[in-house]
Amino acid sequence: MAFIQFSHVNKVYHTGDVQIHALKDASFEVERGEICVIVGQSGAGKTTLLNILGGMDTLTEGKIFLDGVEVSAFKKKQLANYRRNDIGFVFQFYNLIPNLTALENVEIASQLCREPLKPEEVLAGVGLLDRMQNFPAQLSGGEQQRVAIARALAKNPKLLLCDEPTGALDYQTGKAILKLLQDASRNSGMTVIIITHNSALTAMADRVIRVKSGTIDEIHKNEEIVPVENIEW
Amino acid sequence: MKQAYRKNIFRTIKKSMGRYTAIFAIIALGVGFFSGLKVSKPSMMHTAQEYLKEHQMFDYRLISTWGFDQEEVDRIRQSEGVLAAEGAVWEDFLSPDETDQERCFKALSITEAMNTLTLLSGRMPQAGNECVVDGYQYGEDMIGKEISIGANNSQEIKDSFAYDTYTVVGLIRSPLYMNMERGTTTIGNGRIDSFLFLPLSGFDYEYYKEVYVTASTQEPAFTEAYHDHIEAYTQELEDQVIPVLSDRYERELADAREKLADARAELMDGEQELADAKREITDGEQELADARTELDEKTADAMAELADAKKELTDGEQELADAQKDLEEGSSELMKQEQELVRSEAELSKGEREYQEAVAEYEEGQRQYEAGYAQYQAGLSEYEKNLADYQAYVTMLGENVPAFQEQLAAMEAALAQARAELDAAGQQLDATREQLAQAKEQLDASGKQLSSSRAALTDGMRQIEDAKEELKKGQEEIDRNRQKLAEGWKEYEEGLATLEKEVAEAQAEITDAARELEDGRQELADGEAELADGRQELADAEKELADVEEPKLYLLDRNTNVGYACYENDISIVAGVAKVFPIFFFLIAALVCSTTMTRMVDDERTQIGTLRALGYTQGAIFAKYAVYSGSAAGLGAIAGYFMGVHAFPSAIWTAYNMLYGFAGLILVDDGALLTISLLASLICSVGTTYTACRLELKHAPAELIRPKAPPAGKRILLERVTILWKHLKFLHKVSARNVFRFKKRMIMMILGISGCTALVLAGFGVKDSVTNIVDVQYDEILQYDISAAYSKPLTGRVLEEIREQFPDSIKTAVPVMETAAEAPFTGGVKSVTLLVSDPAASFGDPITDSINFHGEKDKAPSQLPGEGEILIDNRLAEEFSLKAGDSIRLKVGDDEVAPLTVSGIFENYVNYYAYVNRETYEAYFQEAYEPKTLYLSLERGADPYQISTYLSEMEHAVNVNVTADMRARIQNTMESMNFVVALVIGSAAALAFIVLFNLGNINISERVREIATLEVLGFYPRESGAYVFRESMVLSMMGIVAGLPLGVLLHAFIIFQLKVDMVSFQVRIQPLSYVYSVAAVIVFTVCVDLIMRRKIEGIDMAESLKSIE
Repeated sequence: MAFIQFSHVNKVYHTGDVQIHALKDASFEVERGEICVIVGQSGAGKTTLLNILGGMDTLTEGKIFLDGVEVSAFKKKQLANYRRNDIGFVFQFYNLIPNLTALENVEIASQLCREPLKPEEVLAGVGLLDRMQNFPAQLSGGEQQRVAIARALAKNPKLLLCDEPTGALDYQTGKAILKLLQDASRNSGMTVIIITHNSALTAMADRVIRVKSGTIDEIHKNEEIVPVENIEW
Repeated sequence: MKQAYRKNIFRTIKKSMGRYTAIFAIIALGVGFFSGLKVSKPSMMHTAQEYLKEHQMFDYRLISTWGFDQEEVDRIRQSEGVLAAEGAVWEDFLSPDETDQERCFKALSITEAMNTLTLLSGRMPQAGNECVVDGYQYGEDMIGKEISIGANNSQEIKDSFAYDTYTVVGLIRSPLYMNMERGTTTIGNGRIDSFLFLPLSGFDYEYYKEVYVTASTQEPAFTEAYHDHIEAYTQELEDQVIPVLSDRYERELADAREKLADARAELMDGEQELADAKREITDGEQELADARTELDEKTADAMAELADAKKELTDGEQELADAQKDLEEGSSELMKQEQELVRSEAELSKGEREYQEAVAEYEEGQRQYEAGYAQYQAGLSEYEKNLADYQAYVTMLGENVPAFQEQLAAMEAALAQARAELDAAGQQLDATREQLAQAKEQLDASGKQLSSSRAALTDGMRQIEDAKEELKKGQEEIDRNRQKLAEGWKEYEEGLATLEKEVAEAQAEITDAARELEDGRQELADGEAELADGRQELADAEKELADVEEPKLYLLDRNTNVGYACYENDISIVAGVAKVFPIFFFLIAALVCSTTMTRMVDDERTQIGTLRALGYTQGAIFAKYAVYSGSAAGLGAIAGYFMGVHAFPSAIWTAYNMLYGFAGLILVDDGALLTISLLASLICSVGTTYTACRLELKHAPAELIRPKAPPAGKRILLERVTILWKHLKFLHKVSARNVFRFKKRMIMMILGISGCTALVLAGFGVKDSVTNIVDVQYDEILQYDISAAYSKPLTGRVLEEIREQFPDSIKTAVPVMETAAEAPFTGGVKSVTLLVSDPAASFGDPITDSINFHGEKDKAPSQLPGEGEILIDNRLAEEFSLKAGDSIRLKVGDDEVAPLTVSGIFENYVNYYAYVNRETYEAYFQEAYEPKTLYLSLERGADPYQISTYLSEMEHAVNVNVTADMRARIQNTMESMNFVVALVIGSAAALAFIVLFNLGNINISERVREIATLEVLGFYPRESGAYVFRESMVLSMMGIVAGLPLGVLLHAFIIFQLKVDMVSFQVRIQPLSYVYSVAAVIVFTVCVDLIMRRKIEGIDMAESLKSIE
């Protein structure tokens, strides 16, 4: 069985009388240690997919497995535990706690889970050793996103989910962040899923999943992986 | 305003109903509270004004020392400035109720056009023996019952009523008694229990006691204008009434003089009569003395005679007895002699017999001698023959025959012997002859003697016979004498009896005479006393006439009516509360508006930027928020005003009803108040909205569209205290930092919470102050359990009797004198209970055993006052601004007393009390000290009611009160205050809740993103809730800590504003109230937290993915 398995997942939102089919019969698999890029237009259903996979939302129909455990069967409390121990999350807008220093922002996550990495080391790994004591407001966007990534990595999760990690960053900084993610995956064998509307990023992925109008449009394994430095968009 | 824009506003309101409601509610609460309390006093004032106007309450009550007659009343009515005048009568009396307790009533005459009564039930009296009673105290069951003028009343009181009993026909209220105070009196225990109204015909009166006057002023009661008018008019009225009164004075004075002259003449006659009587008595006394002497003399003579007779008789008796004795002795002597004679005869006979025998013996002896002599002769002849034979032998044999020698010797010896024998016999025979001769001689003598004895004996016998004869004659004589003596005794007894009888009769005669004389003397004394009285009376009357003063006139205005005077004071309580609390409410309301609107403007920052970019002016944008907050506040203000203005005064009036139930409340709508409330609310809301908008609107639209930079994190001061900081848990550190991150919100939160804490604490504090005094008053200060009033002064014997009845129950028994005094001050009088005791009394315990006089602050026992000194309570001291060493004037009865020095001030909360000792009382008030009241303290567990029943059944018992009942009564009054307090606490609680809810709400909505992120990171809802609420808890705590001292200040201020005539309050908050207040605020915080937690759980984690607005 694959590391991540999505099988026939449906998600329906009810807004008053209107039903919105956010996901329709979505099935795919991701192997351990892969970098997977999920790409699609705005409103294609990628965020729904991410929410469900990240344990932030429940599905209407279908099954999801992570590392052989059925996530789709989890109750609320189990989902919180799942988020706590198995998932690292990188937000588009970093979502750092403004009142905590960089180090503390990492600590707040690492102190939650069972086998955390040392926050200082992780921060050193993302190149922020000397900015550790700074508050988010004193950091640039790229630096904030590095802290966010460090926060996600420090939990030593099974899966790193990134929601448009470069969306709020300039081109160069975005690239540096992607590089960091690629390196993290390559060095520690972490499974990374990046969600983006930018098709250019598919070049760095091991596996590319295209989403369109709530359905999986295409899944393919990337045979020619391009190092991030060489990707242009 | 554009239509779409208007729609936007309405949608905003609809979407954020919670926020809108918060503003609405806080303003409604603030305005409701403010206007409700503000309007309460005017409403109650208006109610009273209308009531007094409708019932034509007097403006003046005229009292003259001479009373008024109808003509005088008519003349007063015609005075300048007088609208109406009506004479009235009143009398205080005691009446036994159903349980035989004496109750003290004030009976007043019904006035026609003034002080009109409100008939609550039944009908007005139609006959003189019907009455209507106090509707506050009696229910409808009283109608039909009878009230009697008790037998204990003085004759004077009884005489002033036309009937003995009055039938109750209705229940009424009188404007003269607006509250529960019924005033004081000089009878009973000095307090009036209840009043009743009679028609004038129910009284037996000569003069009106008072005249009620209405002045021609239209100013409503209680107003400054009214009092000014009255003050100005008083002198004018007095000047008109005095001449009216002096006319009668002149007339009466002349009459009195005439009467006095008559009395003097009468007295002279009496004196003459008395002198005659005195002379008569002196004569009688002389006569009596003479009679007594005569009797004594006569009696003595008779007694002496009798005594002589008695002596003679006794002597005779003695003689007779002696004679008898002699006789008896003679008789016995005679017997003895006779016996001796008989014995002598026997002896004589024996002697004669012996003589005969001796003669015979002698003859025998003679014969024997003769025979012996013959024998001797024979023997002698034989011897001579034998001698002869011997000699013959000797001669025959010759001498030498030795063989016969021996034989011869033997023969010789035998011969010698026979010779000796013969000699002896011869001798003996000679002796015998001698003897016989002698005997013969003797015998002859005896024979001679015997014959003489016999002769003598015969002689004696004859003598005895003679003596016997003589004795018999003597006995006969004695018997004769005895008979004579008995007769003498009888005569004597008769004489004695006669004497005794005669003396007794004479004595009785004398005693009667003496008694008669005594009576006469008594009569004389009476006559003298009467005369002395008459003289005294005359002297008094003369003195009186000399002293007689012109009628004194007293003009009493409404301020001397306790109900009227207290009313304004009492309703000021509410005004006092209204002064402080609403300001607090408004401050907090403004705070809430400010935070809410700031938050709202912040929330819609991008929208503002967009609108600006679209071309809307700053004004238009501000207008949206102004309309938002202004409409919420305006609606809130209107709703709050109407609810407050109706609910608060009604609720408070319900409470006051227990004290002042004279009429239904008339609600006052105060347009100005509504305007003020509305303006204040708008300033609160729109003003704060403006300050919130101003900041945002200053920015360029472009800037506004961009997300606001998140506030920078900062190290806080606490982090510098490394030791402490290191020991904090990580999440606690975050909370600590968060607390100080939003300084504005922190301050708002602390201010809000501290304000609410202060309000709640002050509310509880007011309740404490109100409730507390009951405990302090009846546990700490008044320590007696029963007070019993009697109509006679108590004695040691009565006390002993009571103690014996309940040996195990009574701890201390203190006799005191309780009397009503008045302390006059400008604008009225304070009625004071003056306590008097005798520290040197021979019975009972000292007063300090039943009343604990101690200082208010230090609780140190007060020194009892010396002569000329007075101990007053802190209420009087406050009222008159007195301290130890100052002087105070008191009035007992009609006389004002020279100033007494205040020796100390003691703690007291209910009524006014003062204490003087006996010496002071007698010296300064010139009244007798009569301890008619008994304070009893009981042992734990004793039943006060059992004892009180006994006490009230005792002779002269007037009134027995169990302290527990009094306590309950005051407690009831206090409970009505509790109602107001509960209102305040409830409002404060509601306010606290709104503040907390609003701040919590804002806190969460500001941090939705942060919370969502934490949840995505895997925080359990519980953890994220704790993460947020740890802060609000810390802030609450800080607010509570800040609020407590604020509450203490607020409480002190409110208590300072509270003023009731009957009781005063302590500025004391119980420790428990702090606990309650803190607990209440914590409970609110926790409640709000619980609600907020649900809200946190409802936060969608997807929020974290959204872009920053």
